[in-house]
Amino acid sequence: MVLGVSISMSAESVVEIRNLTKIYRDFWGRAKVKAVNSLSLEVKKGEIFGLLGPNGSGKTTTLKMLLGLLFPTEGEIKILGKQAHDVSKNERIGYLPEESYLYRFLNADETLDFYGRLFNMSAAVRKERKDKLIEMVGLNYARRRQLKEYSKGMTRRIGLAQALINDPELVILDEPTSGMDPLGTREVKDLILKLRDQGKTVVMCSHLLQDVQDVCDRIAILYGGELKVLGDVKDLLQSKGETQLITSKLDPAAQAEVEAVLKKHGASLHSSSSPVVNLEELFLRTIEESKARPGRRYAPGETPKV
Amino acid sequence: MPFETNHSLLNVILQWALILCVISVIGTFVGGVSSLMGGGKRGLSEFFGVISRALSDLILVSPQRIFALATLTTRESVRRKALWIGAVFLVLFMFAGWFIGDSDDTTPAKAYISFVITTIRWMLLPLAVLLSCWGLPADIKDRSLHTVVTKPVRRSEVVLGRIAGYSFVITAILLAVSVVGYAWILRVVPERSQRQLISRVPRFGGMKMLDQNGDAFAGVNVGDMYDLRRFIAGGTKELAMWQFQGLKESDFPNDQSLRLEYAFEAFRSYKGDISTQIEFSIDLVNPETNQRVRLGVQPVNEFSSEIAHDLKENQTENLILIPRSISYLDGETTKTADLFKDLVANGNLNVEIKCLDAAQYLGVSPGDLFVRMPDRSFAVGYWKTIFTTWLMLVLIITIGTTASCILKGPVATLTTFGLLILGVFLKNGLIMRLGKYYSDGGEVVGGGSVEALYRLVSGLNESTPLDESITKTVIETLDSGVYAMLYLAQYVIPDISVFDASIYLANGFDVPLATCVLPSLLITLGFFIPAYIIGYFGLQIRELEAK
Ligand SMILES: Nc1ncnc2c1ncn2[C@@H]1O[C@H](COP(=O)(O)OP(=O)(O)OP(=O)(O)O)[C@@H](O)[C@H]1O
Ligand SMILES: [Mg+2]
Repeated sequence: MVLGVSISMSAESVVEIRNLTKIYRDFWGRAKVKAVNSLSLEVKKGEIFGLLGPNGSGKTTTLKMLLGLLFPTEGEIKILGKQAHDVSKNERIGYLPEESYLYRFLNADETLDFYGRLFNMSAAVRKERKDKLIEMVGLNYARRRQLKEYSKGMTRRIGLAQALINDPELVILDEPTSGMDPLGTREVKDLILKLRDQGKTVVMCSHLLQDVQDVCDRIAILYGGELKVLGDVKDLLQSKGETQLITSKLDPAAQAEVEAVLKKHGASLHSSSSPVVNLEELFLRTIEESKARPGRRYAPGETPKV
Repeated sequence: MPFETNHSLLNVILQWALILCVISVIGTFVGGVSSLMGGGKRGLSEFFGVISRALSDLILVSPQRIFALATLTTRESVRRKALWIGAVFLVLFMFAGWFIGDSDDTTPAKAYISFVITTIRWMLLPLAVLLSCWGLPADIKDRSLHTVVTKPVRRSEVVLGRIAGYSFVITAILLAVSVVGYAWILRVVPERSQRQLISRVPRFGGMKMLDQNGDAFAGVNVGDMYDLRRFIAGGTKELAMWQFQGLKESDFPNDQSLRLEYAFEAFRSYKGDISTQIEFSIDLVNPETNQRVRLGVQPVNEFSSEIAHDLKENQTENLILIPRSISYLDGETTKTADLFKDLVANGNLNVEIKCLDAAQYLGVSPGDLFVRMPDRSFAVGYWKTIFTTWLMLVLIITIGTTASCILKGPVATLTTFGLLILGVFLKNGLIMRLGKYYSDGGEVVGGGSVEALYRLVSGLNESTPLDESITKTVIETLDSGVYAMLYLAQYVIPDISVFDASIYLANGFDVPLATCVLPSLLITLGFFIPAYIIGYFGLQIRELEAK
């Protein structure tokens, strides 16, 4: 039993994970790796949820269990109100795998057409969506080239396009910006924000903390398959003992006056730069702490001290 | 007998359904019990969840998705250069003429036809195995299948899409090489043998042999143990009688004469006159009124065609023509009888054959005399042969795809080849032995395989009975277990020799529906359904991700 974990049953949760555990076994059924350990979390409708963690912390494993590609050793998953192994849920999900596992002998057009057919879309709808998506991911110049000729970033782009072919309600992105150039990264982040504006839910994992910080509403940090931190990005990164004042440019006299006022109230001016910690700091601190205090898990309501 | 064919067809289907039911009940039971033991009550309910999901997955498939997956499979196969096999085939044809052309005997067309069909079968068979066994494992290994199954695709649709895609590829190749093969046969078969390119339609009748007293007898054995034929003595009352059924006037339009074709053998007990053939008489008998018409006398055609040619008796077809209106001698008077009015009674007609040369013998077997219905063109038989070949390839693709749902490429290939080879051997070796085992009431000299091994090791000869002991009981139990498994195996392992219609075609016969095309169709369908179910479960309960 995991300490005090309870998930508020809100009607608008899109993903619910309870006590999820995954043990990879070898051919003989012997346990090899405990990739995910008693993970419980919830993703609400309309939010961008980020899964963070060092390499091998179980992010991809968690996402694959959500999709029914892997079977949980223990625990329960509800996704869009359905079981993970229910294929009908996939009608409303878009998934971008860690590496784009696509058919390399198809070109971009054929790829999107193929996945469109799997959703039983009519030819007209397929054509419309495929034109729009290829345009969106900026592959118009290469739409008739076979994917085996694509560069890594181009493959990621077409992967992203296939994830959105069905106009999904829930988009699951495994490291969406990996391999993308800065411009592409920017575009992907804009796209993710746009998806949220359209009322979609996004679950993503990434190593690029800046990306996560830029787009995610809530994050979870995994380490060794265990949940270490969970919460709103704003809350997590807000520095508790400080107040930030941003004013128009003050001349030195005015600044001295302000400082005097602060002194009068027993406060001092620490710095005039941004007081918001960046995610990198939080991330590193969490990992450090997890190493120092193995077994400690996230408890609901807690906000890490930064 | 059409009724009997239907009857046994029904039997076959019932037997198939029974076997399928038994296996599914056993499967469900074993699955249920093991999940109950593994996971208790929850395990059991999960198990039934899996079963009910399977039912809906297997039935509620989307044609459009299957089509998309099939198209993808086709593209993939084309990319894997599967079509090159067609080119190899063409090259073979270009050179084959050199080797076959010279081996001329009385039936040169036979060699060409057999060559084409055999080549098609044995080139496309491995292609079908390789295509179907490697595609899906590669798809899983490249993880491209993972992206597919995150779309609303049922695993059953993956299986069907694969089978459909490979079948499409194989069909295209088969069509191409068959057209080429057909044209090649027409071109290379020498002018004088072109008439062998035909599909004769035989109507066989039951045969019985009557001795001097008119009692049924088994015929004379002239000592050739490999010969199916039994002999009747010439110049006596011994006769062979064929009873033909289902002869309808409408089958012979435009006053066509009814043709009997024969292939008798002569056995000379002394040399006699070597420049004339041994002859037999043909009597037509109405089985109801016993009206009898002596049709005439015919030579056996015992010499090879060259000798016959020298004797200016170059009779190339052993045909007896029966006109609609037959003139015959009754004593001194010439009478006429109408074939269908006077002789055929309710479609039944008896034909009696007697050997005329005293002290010589005429060899007959049931298939030696048949009514030759109006011929069909060679193309009919050819494309029927191609059709049964196609059914065989689809069966192989089905088995290969199923194997590849569970096993990795190389293992699936070995399994599929193994099954096919086993199937061929089963038919000839095992079933006969099993038949003997059961007809002897389980008593075989030297016992079953385990007993034979025991005898080998302990140095017992095969006729010494084993001592009554626990050892004997154990050995016999094991042996009957082995036999039971083999008995089951003969139903579970397909016999692809059934699909080979070239024996009919090469000998100038039409491919019979009831004994070749229909069984092939049933075997393919019969395997398709269980293979589909097994393939589905293979993919469904497998974590595609974990390698
Ligand atoms: N198919 C597999 N078989 C065995 N172990 C596996 C398998 N896939 C992943 N693992 C193990 O499970 C653990 C979690 O892996 P996972 O891929 O989920 O990590 P991740 O958080 O996605 O890492 P990354 O940031 O590198 O993508 C790792 O220890 C990994 O070795
Ligand atoms: Mg990963």
